[in-house]
Amino acid sequence: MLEFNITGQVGGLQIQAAGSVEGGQCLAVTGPSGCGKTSLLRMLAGLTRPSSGRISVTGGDPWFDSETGAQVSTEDRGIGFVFQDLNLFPRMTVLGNLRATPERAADLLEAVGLSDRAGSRPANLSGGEAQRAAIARALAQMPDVLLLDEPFAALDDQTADQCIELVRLQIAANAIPTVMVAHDLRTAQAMGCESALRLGITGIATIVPLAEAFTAPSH
Amino acid sequence: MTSRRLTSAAMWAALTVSFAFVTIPIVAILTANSPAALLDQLSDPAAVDALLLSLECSVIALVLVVGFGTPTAWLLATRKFRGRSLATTIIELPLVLPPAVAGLGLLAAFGPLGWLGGAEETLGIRLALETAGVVVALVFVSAPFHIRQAQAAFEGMHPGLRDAARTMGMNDAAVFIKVAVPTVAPALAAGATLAWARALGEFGATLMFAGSLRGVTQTAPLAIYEGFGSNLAGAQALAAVLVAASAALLVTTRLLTRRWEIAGA
Repeated sequence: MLEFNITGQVGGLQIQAAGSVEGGQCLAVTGPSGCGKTSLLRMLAGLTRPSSGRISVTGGDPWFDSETGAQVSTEDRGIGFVFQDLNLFPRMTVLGNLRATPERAADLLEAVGLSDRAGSRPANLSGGEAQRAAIARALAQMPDVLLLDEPFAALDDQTADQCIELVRLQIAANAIPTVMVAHDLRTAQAMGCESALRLGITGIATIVPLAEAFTAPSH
Repeated sequence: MTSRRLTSAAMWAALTVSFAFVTIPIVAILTANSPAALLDQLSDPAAVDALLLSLECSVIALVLVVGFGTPTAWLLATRKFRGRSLATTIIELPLVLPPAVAGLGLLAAFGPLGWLGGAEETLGIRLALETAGVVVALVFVSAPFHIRQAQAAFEGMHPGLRDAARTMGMNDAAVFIKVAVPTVAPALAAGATLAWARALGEFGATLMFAGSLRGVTQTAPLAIYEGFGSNLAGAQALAAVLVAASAALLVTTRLLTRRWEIAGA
């Protein structure tokens, strides 16, 4: 289980978020543009340091605890991260980007429909292919926690459904807690999210039922 | 309309003058001797010694510049620390330092009576008036060409690539070796090529620090200077070789830089 209760200053925005995700479950993160959704994922990944609070994963040392000063570095957190702008390594092939055993890489590339693109550079991929490569890369790490920043945004519905199915199977089979920034109810439902962490324009997050997450907050 | 034509004509005239100003001396060097005379002069043992020494010392210097300069550029590009700006300025200083001043500085630091002269004697190392001293001088003057280019390349690298590498379990060293260096490799190669070209043409610091001893410290530029007074045709032949080598390195740099820009970092 991933648990977090953190506050962080990003630019002029103060983000406050608390939540927990069981292994194999997916928590959707929603909210208007610029409310700090990506920043929240970056804090969970350790790429941005929260100003206070605690992040922990069951069975290990806390990733971050402002009271004790504990801080596990990003590279030691065991994260799979699909970035909004993908961040595929431009000089490596798709296969090189995965950095996995040949068997696992072959399985994942087949699952995302990129077997015939294994030797291609990212610059030669279409937007959808690059997004699928990024999904395969995040799963290739056998992550303890999966962080997804609009992972299916560039995919057509059919390909998105295939990738969602793949990710769902992986997180269920390996009991991976998953946090996903989502912009539409359909994707969040397809990923099996039951609730959502809705960030307001002020940066304060509240847990709401999924159906409420994509409606305008009441005041 | 007339004004626009005049402006355009003035610009083309400026380009023509600039081009001619650089081209004429280069062509003059290349045509100073017939091909047969050129080959004859280049077969002179003193010329061969000078060219081989230039090649040997500049390649060793290049290895040192790339080996030490690339991680230095990475740290300067990616870490914020007190004195970073000052460190960058000092490392780039040899770019604008008069070569004779660089030579004096090297003597004051590494010469027999310099700061580290005692330590060198204890360790049995001798740099001044030795081939190793030539390498030291070449490294000193050429390193900033590579470091400056490498630092700019690392600074221009998409920061998301570092983030992605870290989420994949790579520590700083692994990010540098496995992601950053391959990502900006053409730019690094372009910087190294520029540094190499600068090392091949180095004169003043080498003369001040290492002297001009044939077969020991007399590189091609020093042999040209010596030949100027006694064997002009020989000096011109060596100069033609350096012109050709410099042009080849410059073209290589341009091709590598273009490739880097096209591929994107």
